[in-house]
Amino acid sequence: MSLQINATEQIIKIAAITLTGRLDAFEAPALRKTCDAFIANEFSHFVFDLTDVAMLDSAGLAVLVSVLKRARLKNGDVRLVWPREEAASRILKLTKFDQVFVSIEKSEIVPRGF
Amino acid sequence: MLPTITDKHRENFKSLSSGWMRVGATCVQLRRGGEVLVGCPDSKPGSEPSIAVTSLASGLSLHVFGIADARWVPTAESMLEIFGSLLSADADLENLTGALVETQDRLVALYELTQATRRTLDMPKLLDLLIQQSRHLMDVDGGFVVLKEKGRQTIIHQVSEKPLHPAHAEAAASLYLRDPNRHVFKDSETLPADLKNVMMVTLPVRDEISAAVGLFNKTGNFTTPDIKLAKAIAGHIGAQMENAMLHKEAVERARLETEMDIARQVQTAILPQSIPQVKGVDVFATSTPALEVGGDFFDVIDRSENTLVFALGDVTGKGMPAALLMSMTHTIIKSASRNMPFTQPHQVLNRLNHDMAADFANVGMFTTVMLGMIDCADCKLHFSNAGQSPIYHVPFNSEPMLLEAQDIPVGILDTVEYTTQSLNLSQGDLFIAASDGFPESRNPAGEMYGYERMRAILSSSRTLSAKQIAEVLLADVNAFCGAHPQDDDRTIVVLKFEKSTENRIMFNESLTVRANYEEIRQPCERLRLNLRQAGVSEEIAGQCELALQELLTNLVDHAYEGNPNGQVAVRMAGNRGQIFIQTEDTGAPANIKLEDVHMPAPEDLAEGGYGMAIIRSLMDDIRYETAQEKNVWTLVKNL
Repeated sequence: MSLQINATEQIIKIAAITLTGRLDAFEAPALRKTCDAFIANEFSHFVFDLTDVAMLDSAGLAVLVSVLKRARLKNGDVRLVWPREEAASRILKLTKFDQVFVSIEKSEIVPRGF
Repeated sequence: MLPTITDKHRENFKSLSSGWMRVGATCVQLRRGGEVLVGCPDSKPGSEPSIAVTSLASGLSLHVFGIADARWVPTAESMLEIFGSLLSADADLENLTGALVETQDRLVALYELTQATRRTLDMPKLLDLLIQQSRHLMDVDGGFVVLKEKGRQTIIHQVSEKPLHPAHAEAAASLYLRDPNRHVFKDSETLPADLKNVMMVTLPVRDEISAAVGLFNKTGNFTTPDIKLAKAIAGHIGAQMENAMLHKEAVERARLETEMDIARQVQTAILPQSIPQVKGVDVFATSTPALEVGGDFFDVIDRSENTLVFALGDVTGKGMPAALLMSMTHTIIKSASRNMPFTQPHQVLNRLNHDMAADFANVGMFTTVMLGMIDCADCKLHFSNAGQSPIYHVPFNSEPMLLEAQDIPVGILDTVEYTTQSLNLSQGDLFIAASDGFPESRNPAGEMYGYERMRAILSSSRTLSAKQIAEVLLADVNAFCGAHPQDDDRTIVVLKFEKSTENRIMFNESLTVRANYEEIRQPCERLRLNLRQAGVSEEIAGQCELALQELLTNLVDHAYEGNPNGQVAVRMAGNRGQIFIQTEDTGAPANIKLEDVHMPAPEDLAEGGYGMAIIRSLMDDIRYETAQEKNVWTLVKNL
């Protein structure tokens, strides 16, 4: 039996989003809008580079959670480059989302393979 | 001096003349110079007298007409002599009578003068009486009195229709004072032109005053009795003047004593009877007035639970004016400190200076004032010093420091702007405001107590209570002065800061923002900045900021439900022990049971409901109250 080759094109769309500044209730709607657009365009994987996020509140967190939820529905995932600032990482630890979001290094933003 | 020829003289002359007629004379005349005093017969003959004899003694001559016989000359001489003697005797008699009458007049006048002067103690009136009586008795144009006292302006008092030039009166007095044995001056070479003659006598008042009475331009000339009379009058008036001076001095002394009494009462009345106590400050104040009241004042006012205002000042001058200004100054300070919306001492001094500058200028006085305000909440002392000295700050861990006054006293310049200085107080710090009565106290040797002795006492007694420190200082000054009487008021305010600096307020800020996501960032940033400046760790600062951010977001979302015009007032304060964050909004009341708030499980991927749970996990206490349609959230973080 000859080898059957059934090749399908696997296109995984990864959105790499770098954020700088304060991600709070005021800025959250803009991020949500951006993410909504990616999801509508069949993006299922998201990398948020939070390195330079100065502060993160529950409204900002809610956007990340919302994106994670929808990504998972498409078998996708959300990964985070951990913020340098304690003011940004604090809420992730408090809410235990540090155990939910997979954290990666900044160098891993461009994936070497899945 | 010859009297006038009387009828009796004519008769005598007629009977003597009848003898001449019998021997053939046609006319006999008695002459003085060319004037016929009496003649017999009265008609004047046309021819020259045949016999004419003259008496050198009396200046009279006897002329006989119609007998040209030298044998009758001795007879004529005898008759002239007899008649001359008669006239002379009559003249003496007349003079004597006149003198008697005059003496009687003068005695009456002196008596009247005595009576009049007994009723008056008014100097100018006495001088008037002196001159008027002298004029009346001596027939002069006028009189003057010259009073010379060392170090004072010469006084010239005149009574005359045509007063002398004052310089002329003084010139006459100088002539006399140069030679007090000479009383009458009529030498036109030494006297000014308007003085024909002048008589000067001494007015015996007091040793330190040289006074002279001058009477001038008498018809005829001054006689020895005039001098005697003038001396008598002057002696009497002088004594009366001395009485008047003594009386005036007694009245003045009585007035001063009364005034000092009132001044002392005013001062005692305005000094506080009790010293208010504020938690965290040990305060003591006292004032020991000198016998002659100075213008010291002090006050200690509890402005609020945490704020103590104290004042210490010294009005220049003594007596009633100082007491009045002191009481006005004190009233303004008291009311401005307590009731006005002034938060800084220099504002009170500006107000005081503005209100009082004119009053002080009117009496040529001013006041030094030290006004301080201790804020126990933030452990700070704010003070403004308008010329008050000495002021000492004794930090708990170093030597006393003398703080120089930074501004000029109140009441000198109405345009001056006063300034406030601030000190951070630590537990055990001393602040002492005193009046110059302390360092300037003297001992019997004349030495001053001085700033160095005061500094040393404050240094050695620093661990005592405020009251004990004041007592030790007062005792030391008293011991130094010994028997030397107290020259000036001694007033002191001692403050000892006792509050633990644990409660020192590090920041206290309030701001109001509109309830939208953009504006609520402001209080969050302010909180972070305040905490950073206060030296709170980044960890705690971040926790507090996040808690406030979550609370405010909740208010935007739930209390105001997105209504962007809603307002939120945020107050943030922190001391060494705690951080307080409080919000006030007028939105919908929160329908939440804090104890039921739990963090959603992350695996549920909830997109909300974290805010209040985050706040709970970050803060040590959360309180929610509604009052007067306001919702008040209070977050507390223990440090």
